[in-house]
Amino acid sequence: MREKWGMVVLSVVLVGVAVFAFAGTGEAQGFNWKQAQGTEIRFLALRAWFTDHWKANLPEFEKLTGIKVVIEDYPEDPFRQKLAVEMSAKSKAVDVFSTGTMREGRQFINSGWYADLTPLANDPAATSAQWDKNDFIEAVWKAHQFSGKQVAVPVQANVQILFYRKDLFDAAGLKPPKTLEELEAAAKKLHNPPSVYGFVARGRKTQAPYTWSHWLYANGGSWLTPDGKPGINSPAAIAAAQQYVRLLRTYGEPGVTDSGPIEVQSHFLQGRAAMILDAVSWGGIFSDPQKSKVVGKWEGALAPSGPAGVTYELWSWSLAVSPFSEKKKAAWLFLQWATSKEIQKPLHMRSFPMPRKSLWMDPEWKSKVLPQYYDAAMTQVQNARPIGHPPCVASPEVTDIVGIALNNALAGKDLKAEMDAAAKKMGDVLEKTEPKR
Amino acid sequence: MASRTAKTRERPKEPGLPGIGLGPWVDRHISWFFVLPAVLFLGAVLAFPVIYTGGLSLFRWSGAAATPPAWVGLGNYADVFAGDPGFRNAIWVTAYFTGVSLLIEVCLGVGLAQLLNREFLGKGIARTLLILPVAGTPVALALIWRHMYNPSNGIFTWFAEILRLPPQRWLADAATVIPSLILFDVWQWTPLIMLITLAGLVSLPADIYEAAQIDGASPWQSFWRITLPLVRPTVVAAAMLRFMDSVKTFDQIYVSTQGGPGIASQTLNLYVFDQAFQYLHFGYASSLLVVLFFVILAGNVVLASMRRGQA
Repeated sequence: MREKWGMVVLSVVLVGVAVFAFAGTGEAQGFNWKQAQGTEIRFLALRAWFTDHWKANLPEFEKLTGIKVVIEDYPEDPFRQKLAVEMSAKSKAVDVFSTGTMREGRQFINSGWYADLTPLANDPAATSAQWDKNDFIEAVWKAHQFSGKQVAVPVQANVQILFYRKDLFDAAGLKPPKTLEELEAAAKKLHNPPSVYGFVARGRKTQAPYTWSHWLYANGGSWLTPDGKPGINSPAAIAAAQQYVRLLRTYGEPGVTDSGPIEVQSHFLQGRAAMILDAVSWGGIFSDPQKSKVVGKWEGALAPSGPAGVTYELWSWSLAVSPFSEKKKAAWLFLQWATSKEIQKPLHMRSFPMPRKSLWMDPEWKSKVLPQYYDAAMTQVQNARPIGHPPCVASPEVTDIVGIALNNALAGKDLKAEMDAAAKKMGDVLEKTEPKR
Repeated sequence: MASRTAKTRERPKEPGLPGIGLGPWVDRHISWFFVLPAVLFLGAVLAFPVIYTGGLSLFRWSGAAATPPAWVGLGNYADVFAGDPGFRNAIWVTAYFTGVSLLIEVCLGVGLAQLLNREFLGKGIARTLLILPVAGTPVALALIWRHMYNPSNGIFTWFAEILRLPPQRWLADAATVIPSLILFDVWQWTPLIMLITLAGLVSLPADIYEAAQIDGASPWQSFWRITLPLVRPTVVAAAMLRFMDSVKTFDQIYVSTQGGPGIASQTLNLYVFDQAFQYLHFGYASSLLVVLFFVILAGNVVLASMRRGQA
């Protein structure tokens, strides 16, 4: 009996070696893009500029691989709803989906909603050499790994830099602020409502925590204490919240409690904000004379540091493969194509920051954008870390808890009391949802 | 329709009459077999989700593939009623929003219907213009209203400046967010009440009014004593429709405030949405939905009793 099993194992190993060797020769002669020809995959997508770009170029992929892709895209909230329903039903109908691992990564891993991409990415038969995973900026690539498993591939690399009105700064004899203290002083000097507000940033409950996280880490705070307890009412976190709220209440715009990225962006576009700290990807829009009143009047700078130095927060949307998919190979081919250099390049040239080193180094792009903006963006993206969301399973819920507290403080309620109450609530949620160590 | 055909079929009892040959029992109850597919289909699409939700509300489940739903019995309900501050807030916000907007919409709607229930130049145009908001997509309208309420450059802010009112922050202020949303809701849905009421008014007999006029009733008296009691069932039906919709309002509020600032405009339905699809507490969200179902049921029972009651 034992001998028989031995034979089985041996033959499996032999077949495996044969397949591997065959695949090896295949790669040497050029990658087989047609290996999943004739399959159809479904991609549940976030409606976004990158999705539009894939849609427009899809015939090229279908010609290259013979795989038909059905792209079903929805705005963010209906998208999340649809995805949650299909994944919790273990639907085999979803093959590829958009995801924000920095926000929901731990939640999805805990639910078993990501296929592990590591074996596919390391398999030369499944992965084209041209795709070149080493071209991804290391910090961004690593942000998509959880306990050594690659769960998604980034489709952008967004950091928050400081955008400031160079004309106003020059007129007032100011230099771009290097510290958060200097930022507050500059905001004070340039605040001239209602024509110009000193500093504009996100205050809406779902949005405030992301931008605030910059203050949190610059003050030496963190979402969680080293032993996994809520860190949002530590002295450092309170100091961070006090400064953020003070800045926005004193030198911000009147609608701050209800403002998200769209509002922040439009204030800067209309020339009503002296400074914002937000997505580096907006550089392209700010320089577009069709949309912007501040063309030639702005520059970029490094996000200012605080008493405890500086951590640059990273955000990206990514693509993942469903673990319930029966067409993972085809799905993986689509991921490679969608995140390839060729597909990402036109987007990067329009200043949508991509996760690839080669594109950031591209002389064509460098010559197109403002020099200080380029330097700041480059420095930050190489050092960015996913600190914009709390690193826990219940990340979306905790974000809302903190967001409500910050939002209430922005509306004038007692900040310390709000943060203490939020920390207590956060503790309860962590207790219920974190896997026991 | 089906049952009437079946009855005429049933009556002749002589043997040999053509049935469909599946035995006398089937032939006698043939009408049921005709409606059966529709009943089964409706049962599946209507009852199943309700039963499923009810069932799910007894579990704790995050949608995880790895961990199956955990039985908690009535634990979710205990959590709901034991003092979930989010739930208490949501009930209050929902009652405030629905109560006030429904009251205004019914009063305005009946008044407008009364105005439109007479001949005047441009009546058709006025009616078309008035019902336009009903035809709009709530999400698109919410985005437009959000812009109009913008505290720095919205049109309402501009009006407030012209009227020399103190600066308002509309949706961005916990004190004004619900009144602002109510104004939006009233603008969009008053025409619906108006339209239904108008249909009721048109069908009222003219002779009662003539009789009242002969008896010397003033226009106010004939409105209060004749029109209102007669049109009441129609108005109540319209109010019930609005009530159900209003309690469930989601897209308008979600798009314009996401339930903020803080949780000042987080209605029950928004709260359920966050619990289910943002936080993945499917069991807890289901128990909230069951509660929402009873809230709507209770509201409708109250409204229905007004329909039957005496003036």
